[in-house]
Amino acid sequence: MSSIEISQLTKIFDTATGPLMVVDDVSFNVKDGEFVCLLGPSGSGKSVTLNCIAGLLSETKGEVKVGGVPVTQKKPHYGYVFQQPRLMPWRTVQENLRFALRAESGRAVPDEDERLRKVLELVNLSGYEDFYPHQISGGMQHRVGIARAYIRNPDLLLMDEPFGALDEITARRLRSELVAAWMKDRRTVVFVTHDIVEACYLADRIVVYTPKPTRIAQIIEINLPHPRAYGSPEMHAIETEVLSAFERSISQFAEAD
Amino acid sequence: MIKQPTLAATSSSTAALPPNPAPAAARMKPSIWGVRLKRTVISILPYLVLVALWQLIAATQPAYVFPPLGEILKTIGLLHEEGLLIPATLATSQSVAIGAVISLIFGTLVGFALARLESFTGPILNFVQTVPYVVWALMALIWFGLTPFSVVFTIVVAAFPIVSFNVAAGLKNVDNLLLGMSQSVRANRVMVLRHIVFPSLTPYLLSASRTMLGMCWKISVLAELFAGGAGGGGVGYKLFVGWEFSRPQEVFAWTLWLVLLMMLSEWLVIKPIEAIATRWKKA
Repeated sequence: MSSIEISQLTKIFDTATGPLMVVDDVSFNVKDGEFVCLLGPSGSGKSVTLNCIAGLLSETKGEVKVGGVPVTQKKPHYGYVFQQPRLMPWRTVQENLRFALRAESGRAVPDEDERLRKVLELVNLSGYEDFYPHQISGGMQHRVGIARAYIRNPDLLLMDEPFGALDEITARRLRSELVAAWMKDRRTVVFVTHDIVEACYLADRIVVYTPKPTRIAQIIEINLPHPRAYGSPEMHAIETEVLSAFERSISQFAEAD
Repeated sequence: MIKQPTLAATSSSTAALPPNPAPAAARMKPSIWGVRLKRTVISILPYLVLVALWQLIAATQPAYVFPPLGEILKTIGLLHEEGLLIPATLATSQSVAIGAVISLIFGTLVGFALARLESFTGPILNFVQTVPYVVWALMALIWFGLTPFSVVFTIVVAAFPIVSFNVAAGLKNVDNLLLGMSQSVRANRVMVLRHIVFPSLTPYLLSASRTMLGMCWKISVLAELFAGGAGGGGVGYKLFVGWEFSRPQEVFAWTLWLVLLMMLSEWLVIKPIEAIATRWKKA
């Protein structure tokens, strides 16, 4: 079970120029098996929220619970996908994945080969086991990054703009692969992005963030079946709704300034 | 791994190159042999210039001041016939090998300490480096007597800081993105060291080893010179004997021999290790 409860999450960083509030009193829940996008402009504290869920950052105030347990007590079992693939260039695809499997214990996992084969199949990389990262394309490197998150079989996937640095064609292909992989077993996903179209394509629910310091502008539910089609009238309607929520939050922010 | 034969071929081609590439093929297009020939010429050019300069000066000077290369090589041959060359070479090589291995291991450990606690380790390392090598050699004799161990000690003291400074610099350049990734899969410390930190350090360790090995050879001569026959009777001691008995051709012979040994150790030890450690780049 990997439902997430975030209540009154506040994060303040101590910087040289004084305390800096990046997340201000944010509360929302993610149901088990739900795909939620955190959408907001750059520097709006989306990644900070994600890292608080992962337990990589500790909250200044408030609480984050995963599966009913505060992450400060027990770190959740998650897979993390970064904006860059973050592969070890001196290790092959399969060695990079084995690293994730063996990372905690340092020893081989019993069904390692089977898991490796399955996860490579999931991201369409069968046959590339022995390639080094510099021998495969950027899109394939991202697939390895996603496979690395999957291979540890987490209930929770945390993704921090994983397709942000890719060209649109490659990103679209990877997004549809991600949706296909996700639909197989419906793990809980929290996906950070600043791309409205991407969020509307992927999410069951979009949490729209305001500019700094982050609050929640609006939470938008999307009741469209997967896989979705870019440019369909339904998608377009959702995109317009998200965009207007975005616009409202920015104009409010400008007034408050 | 598939590439290994090609790798071996590239490195050996510098040594064994056909003097005349097939003329027809050469005229058709700039063949691989043409490119390799050019590379070989460029790589031996500095040695040719050195030899030419040496012979030029030798021709204008008496042999006891500046002997021609032929004379020096002849002396090396004579030393071998007298049965002096091999034992001295073995004694020095042994000291250098032991000194280099200890310097590499100890230097790496100190490098980690330097990166972690720079304000503590830095001044100590600077102190060790500031004391002249000659003084270390003399101190070694005072502390450990006229023994081969004194030679190894002097080598290590002179050589390990090179490794330490390089390792510390390398540790500062370990990719933070990879460390973040290792944190996200909850990697333990050993796994991070083995798969991320040490591979990141490889280029630094290689360049450090190259400089460090040269330093080991040079310092071995200095240390053996002070330690005398009891220091194992290595090349440095023989060089000193040649000097004592006013036999300059022997001094030149031992010096040239030492230079050859240094170059040989680079080709036989550093180059193969480098080829193995950077194999993935050429895959």
